[in-house]
Amino acid sequence: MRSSSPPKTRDAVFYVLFGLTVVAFLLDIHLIFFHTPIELSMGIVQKIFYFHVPAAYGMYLGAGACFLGSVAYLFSPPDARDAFAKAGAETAVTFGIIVLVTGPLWAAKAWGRYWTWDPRLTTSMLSVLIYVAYVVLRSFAGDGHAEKKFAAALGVVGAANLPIIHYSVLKWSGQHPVVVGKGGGGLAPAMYPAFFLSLGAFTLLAIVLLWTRTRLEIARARLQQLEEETLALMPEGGT
Amino acid sequence: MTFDHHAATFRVASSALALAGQAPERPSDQAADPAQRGTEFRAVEGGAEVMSGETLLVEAYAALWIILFAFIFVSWRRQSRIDARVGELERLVAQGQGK
Repeated sequence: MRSSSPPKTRDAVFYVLFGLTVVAFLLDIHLIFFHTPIELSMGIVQKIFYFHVPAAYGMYLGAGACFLGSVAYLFSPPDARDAFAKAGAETAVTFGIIVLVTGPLWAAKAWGRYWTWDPRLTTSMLSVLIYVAYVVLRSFAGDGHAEKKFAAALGVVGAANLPIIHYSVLKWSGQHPVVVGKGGGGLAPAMYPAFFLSLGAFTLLAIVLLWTRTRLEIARARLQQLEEETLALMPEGGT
Repeated sequence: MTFDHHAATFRVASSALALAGQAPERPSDQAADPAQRGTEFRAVEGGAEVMSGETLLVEAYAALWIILFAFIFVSWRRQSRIDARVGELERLVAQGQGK
């Protein structure tokens, strides 16, 4: 692996991105709570929507990154591609847990129960469990090429569930609302700014998390390689 | 008060009960008759909400930030481990150069 510290310009881009993410979230929270109307039938609990849906979108981004990194690693295996796939899976798990926690809290009010085995809920939980399995595999199975290749296969296969989540609500109906997109009735016009800003803020957050975790994983892999090289150079009996 | 006044009050009360068709029953009679016991609970329509939307909203936002901060904390822990290993590697390299 090539040894290189990130250029200063790359660091600058990261800090700008990080700053934009913080500003976007502050503006978003302000917009959601002070300028967006309360929904007519559900009341204030509907405001969970502004974080629940973008978190699901963030999960798709993480899962997409895992898929791309895995496919790239299977074609040609430099460690950076594997690091990107692993970072994608970790990001997907983080956003997936947010989705699985905020959704039932909304459902407790809207449906009168925290969970139902609705097609979209079930397929979403299945997807999160696939990426949890990926992260657990990477944590306990070692860092050999075979393990990375197996994880890459899981990253590719795991992405197959993503379109199923998206279309499950259209194909198999269920209780999960369809508001935005095909088949949805849409939001009140005053609700769109907060929703779009939330999507933007979560996109930036997903990029920041992907970036930091990829860099961390690349650094860890590079360090492990240096340790092995150094130990090989040490005289017999050296520590 | 006169006897006539009491009698008039009794007549008015009896008439009202008869009109309403709700002759009062003594509690002991209700308890003795299993057919009279309650078989369902019905909510008051238009009453106060059972589960607070505000509480659920705060719980959802708290969960969001706890999960994100946990993720950042795990990243920080991993970075600390890498820093420790870099320190150990530097010590080994310095040791090797000293010999």
